[in-house]
Amino acid sequence: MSGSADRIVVRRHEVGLENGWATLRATIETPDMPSRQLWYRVSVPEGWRVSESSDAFVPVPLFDAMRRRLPLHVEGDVSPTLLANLEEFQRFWTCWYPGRFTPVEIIAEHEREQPTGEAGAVTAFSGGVDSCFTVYRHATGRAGRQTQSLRAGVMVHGFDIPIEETAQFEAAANEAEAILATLDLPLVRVVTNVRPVEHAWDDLVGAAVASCLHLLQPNASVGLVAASYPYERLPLWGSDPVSDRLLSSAAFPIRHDGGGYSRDDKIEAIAQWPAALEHLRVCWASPQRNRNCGSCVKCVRTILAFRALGLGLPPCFDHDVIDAQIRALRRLDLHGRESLRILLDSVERTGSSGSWVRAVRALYYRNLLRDRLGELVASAPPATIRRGSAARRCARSRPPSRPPA
Amino acid sequence: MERRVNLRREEVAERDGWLETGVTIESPGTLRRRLWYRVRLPNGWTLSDSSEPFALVPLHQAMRLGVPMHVEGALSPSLLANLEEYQAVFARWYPSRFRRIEIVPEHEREREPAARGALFTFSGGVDSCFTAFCHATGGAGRQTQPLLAGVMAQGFDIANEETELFESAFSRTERTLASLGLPLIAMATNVRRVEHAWNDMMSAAIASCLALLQPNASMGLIPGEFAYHLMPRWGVHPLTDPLLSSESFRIVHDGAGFTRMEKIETIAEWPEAFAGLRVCWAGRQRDRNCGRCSKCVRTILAIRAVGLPLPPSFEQDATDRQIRGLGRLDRVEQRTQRALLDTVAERGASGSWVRASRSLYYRSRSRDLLDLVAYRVRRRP
Repeated sequence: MSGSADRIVVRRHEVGLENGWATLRATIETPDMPSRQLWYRVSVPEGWRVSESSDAFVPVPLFDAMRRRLPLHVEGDVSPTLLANLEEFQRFWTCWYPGRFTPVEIIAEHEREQPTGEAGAVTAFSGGVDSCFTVYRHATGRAGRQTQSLRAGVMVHGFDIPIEETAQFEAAANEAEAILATLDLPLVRVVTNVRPVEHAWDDLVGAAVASCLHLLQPNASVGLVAASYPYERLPLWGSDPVSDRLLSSAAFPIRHDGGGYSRDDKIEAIAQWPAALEHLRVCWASPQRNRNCGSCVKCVRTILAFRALGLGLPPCFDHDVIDAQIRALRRLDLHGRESLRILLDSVERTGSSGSWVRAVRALYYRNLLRDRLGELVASAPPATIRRGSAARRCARSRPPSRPPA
Repeated sequence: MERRVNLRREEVAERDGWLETGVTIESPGTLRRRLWYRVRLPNGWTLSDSSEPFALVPLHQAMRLGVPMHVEGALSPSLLANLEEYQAVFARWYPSRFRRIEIVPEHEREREPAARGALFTFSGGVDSCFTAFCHATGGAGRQTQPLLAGVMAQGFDIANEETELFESAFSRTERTLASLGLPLIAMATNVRRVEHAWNDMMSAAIASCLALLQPNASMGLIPGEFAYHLMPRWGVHPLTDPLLSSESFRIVHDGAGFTRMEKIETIAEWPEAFAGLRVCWAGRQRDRNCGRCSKCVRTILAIRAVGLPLPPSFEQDATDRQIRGLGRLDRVEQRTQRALLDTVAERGASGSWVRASRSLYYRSRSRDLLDLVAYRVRRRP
């Protein structure tokens, strides 16, 4: 596969193995740009092996190819079923962002389905509410006919914890390992630079998680991605039950797991699991990555969700939340706003009351009104609303999204 | 006696050239009812002897009653697993209406997969024409399926007693599909008499018809109406449709990657389909388009937006007054209207109808915002 000015080429490198870590790399050659490396380092448990296919190297560079409207050439083997699914995956994103993305052709050096891996599932695991719930319900047989026999949790360094914060990630991974150990499950660590390579994290999150899981395909027959939102409150972002499924190959289906449960259901389930309550990690804002700051929107809504259910403050938080902290949150991104909506659902269901409920409600509606006005202003023809008017000022752009749990 | 829904299988019988099969539904607090399906089966085709087609529609009633459903005959474990998630979606979408229940089949058995090939529902409307044309001409890319036949069912949009209207619509639609070299299979069913919540169970009803033909195909395509970004929470959805699949018979929600305008532009390349488009569910004559109902008006606007002439299957064009008469749009209709306005802006279409469409959209958005403000003011302590 030779370089070209009218396509993006993903060149694979040999897999490196050293001290129990496998390094998988690809060089991404984009016209008019310096070449970039996309790499993953995987702590391979004994008896496991990493995938030699290029399936894991397609989803992330695909976003840049869609943005630049350039075909994507991928060295190595890619599963035809993944390629077929990625055509629909691209359609999904193009529908939502017609100006930003265009479907492109993906050309693999070889098209070959991978042999089915070992029976069982690997699941992405950050140590937050959603991934703890997914692990707990499958490990304890509470997922009904969809129960998977779990083989490992996969924690990724490079998503919420920047890759240069090695000690902080190790501390957080140790906490996650302690949670999984109580269910006799190993933790596989993956380090990756997907976020420096592809910046649109909100769009990319499902693809990035799936790419990490695809690396472990020979050792499992299913990859689970824990749902962040229940089916009735799905915002548009990178991990969605429809689009996540489109990151599957025949040998390795990706399942969006837990959308059928509210955050209340999840919290009530993991409240039965003391190790999870002790080591739960929901915060992406704390400089100490293995602790929860207790004041960001994710910490606040989690503490309040436990409070609404009458479960008290879980031991993973140092302090409870006061009303002033709720009011201090002010302008929220889409995820923050929706998480408050879900909290208010819980408040209504449980009949909780108090000054904190009023503070949450006021915060939610203030943000909702501002966002709705913003949408209306943004969609209006340019001459309709005066530049500098109160409506325009009020509907100023949304703050950048925080990474999800 | 345990409160539960029982499905009792009936033997297949032949009547007036139709094969008829069905189940008797016994549910607590209601009289026994029969759910039946009739098929004019092509030569050499066989009907499924599995109970899978019969479980999908009564499931909605069992979920509403919150009681287990016992099914005579065999269901595949893969379908049962998918139906658990299918129920989870509906229970989250409509918590006061649906509950998750247990499905207990007499036997659990995976079916043998049939030879590769797809069936699809075909009504002669925009969505099904798009699906047929894309797959028949290889326009669906790597997802292109070898099409075996279309299926048109009486009892969906054309009522069971309107046999003449159905036969007339069927003949016209059969001719359209024949221009692609594909057969059309006639079916009839009383699903809408048995389960009234049509908007919730539309795909379940379609999938049940397609699954009856499972021994002859490996896949059933359901042409979706809405594009991914315009998708309402209802019975035809890319989230729930695949959950009506078993290992041997996949159900695929098709065409969600395209807007109505894009679909119409594609269908214009198939003159037989474009000339005979049938989108209307409201007109007295179900085999034609009334040109007045909201679906006709929206389709006419979509055709105008892409600069195509009105096909002869529409009796009359839409007036600006009819556009304004669509009233206040709900959130889903607003998004659909937004997509129309985006296409209009992209193509540079103009005229009084564009102004009427734009005003309809902004009036609805502004009213929603005012309602939200009023709601908040009322709830303020």
